[in-house]
Amino acid sequence: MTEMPSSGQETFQRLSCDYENLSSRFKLQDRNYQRQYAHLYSERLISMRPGLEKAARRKWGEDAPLCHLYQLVSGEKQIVVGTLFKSMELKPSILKEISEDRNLTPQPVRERFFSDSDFLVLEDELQRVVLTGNIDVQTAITGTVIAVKGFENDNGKFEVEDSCYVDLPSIEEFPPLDDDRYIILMSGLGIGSDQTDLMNLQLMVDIITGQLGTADQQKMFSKVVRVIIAGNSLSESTQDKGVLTTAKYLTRKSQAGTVEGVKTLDHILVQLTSCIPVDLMAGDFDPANSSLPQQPFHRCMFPQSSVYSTFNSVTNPYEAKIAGIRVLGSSGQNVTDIYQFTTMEDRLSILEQTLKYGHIAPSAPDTLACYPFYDQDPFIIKECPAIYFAGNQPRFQTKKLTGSCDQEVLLVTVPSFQETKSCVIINLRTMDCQPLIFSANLSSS
Amino acid sequence: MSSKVVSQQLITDQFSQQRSGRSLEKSKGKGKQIVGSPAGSPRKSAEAHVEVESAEDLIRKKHLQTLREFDLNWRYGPCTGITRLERWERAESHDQNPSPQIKDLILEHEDDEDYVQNTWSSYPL
Repeated sequence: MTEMPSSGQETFQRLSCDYENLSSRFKLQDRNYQRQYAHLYSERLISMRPGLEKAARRKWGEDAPLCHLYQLVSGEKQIVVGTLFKSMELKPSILKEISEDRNLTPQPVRERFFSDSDFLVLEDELQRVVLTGNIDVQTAITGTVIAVKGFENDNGKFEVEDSCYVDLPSIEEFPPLDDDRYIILMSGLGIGSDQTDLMNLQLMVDIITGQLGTADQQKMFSKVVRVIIAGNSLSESTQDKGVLTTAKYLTRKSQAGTVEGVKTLDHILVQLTSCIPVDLMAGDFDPANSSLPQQPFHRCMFPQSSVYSTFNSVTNPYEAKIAGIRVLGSSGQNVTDIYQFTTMEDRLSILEQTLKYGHIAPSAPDTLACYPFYDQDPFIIKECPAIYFAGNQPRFQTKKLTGSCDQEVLLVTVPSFQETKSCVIINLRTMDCQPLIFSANLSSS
Repeated sequence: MSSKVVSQQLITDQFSQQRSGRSLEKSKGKGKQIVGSPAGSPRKSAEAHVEVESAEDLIRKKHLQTLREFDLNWRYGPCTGITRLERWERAESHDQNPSPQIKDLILEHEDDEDYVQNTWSSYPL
């Protein structure tokens, strides 16, 4: 596509590959916020029930009858499919905040919200039952649909013997690549904060576009076919929370803090888009809607980059087929939210859990803001991705997960660039994945 | 601005609540009259008048009853906040085989809010 200058005589041609955007289900057709979230939970349960019943039958055979909660007979072994709800005392609640305002008992600000008194409840279409027994309360996530085998005990609680998740869907065959092709994942560029040093960012852009490095390196980077920017391109500090609490007439003439940041981002993106396709996802701190699925940025925000057809503003979560390989990922809100509400420490294992549960963001709409869908739950994983990532995580981690039907999924937590000065490069042929770390220390001392 | 919207909502909510309450009473009254009429009740003259009118009403009531039963069927998920047709189509997409009769009924009376909206549509969420 674009010729890349090199220090020697050689020039390297930018390679390309097939691309198909599969994120249409994350695009909102209408914006009706009047509905309640009951629809989303009901939709999730109805959609996932057949898969779970199949998985339960496969795991436990004809051991116990499948039934709804209203059919439970005390003391008899039965299998129930339902949505998990973790009752958490420390979960932030607006009602509690109001009552605390009245009583003036300030609570410490928390980062994580689990406590020992949490307990699990299983809900189906009609009723709910408290779960006890062989199920880990602290690692469970509200909103996941599971099947449990057990019996109702004398206290009216359901004694769980075993639980089971939905099977990982089968993976589509993709044609093997004869040559190396790479994609680069980055997130958390953090433009607009006081501490951003654009030096490292510029280094990264230059090496991807082939302005830097030896002929070998340039050759390698000419095989990068796509860059995915997984959210938080702007820094948290560009979000001016004060605007929300000041009177409108006072802030009418003032400029939003994000304007400068977006301009800088545009300058950086234009260097990338002029020679490589770029997918830009919105993140937590970006000037986009805050509830999942986040909608693409408008092209007008990036007057320079959007001139190129290689500039691709996409939804978060984002799904695409690159060279026939299905890539699915988010800007990381789903993983961060689960981290806050469970005792799971490892971000990679949280990511793995969401894949096992067959749902990208089970904690939406409970603790993660989400659009009130009624006729579909776009977060259900119906097709198995070959690469599954989450952006804006504290460090780079990767793992190859092998499913029950030999599906191989590459799990990647993409580190925040601002904190780690690194991005991730994946070889689509070998599915090798490694971080690229840029640490130039040009302090202005 | 926002406070204005809120206060407006509250007023309309109250109105719609009143209206729905009245319409409920009305339909209840009618139901009684029809059930009661064969047995013969003291207010006979008033009923005769109603019954002449209700030839069409009866069909309509039967329709609405069918639709209400559809609303109350828990297998198709919650019914508030969406139209009956949306709910029917959702059930269809999940292969739950909702009765095609329901869809026909709704489509035949597309302009009639009583057919299109669910039972609780006039109540605030």
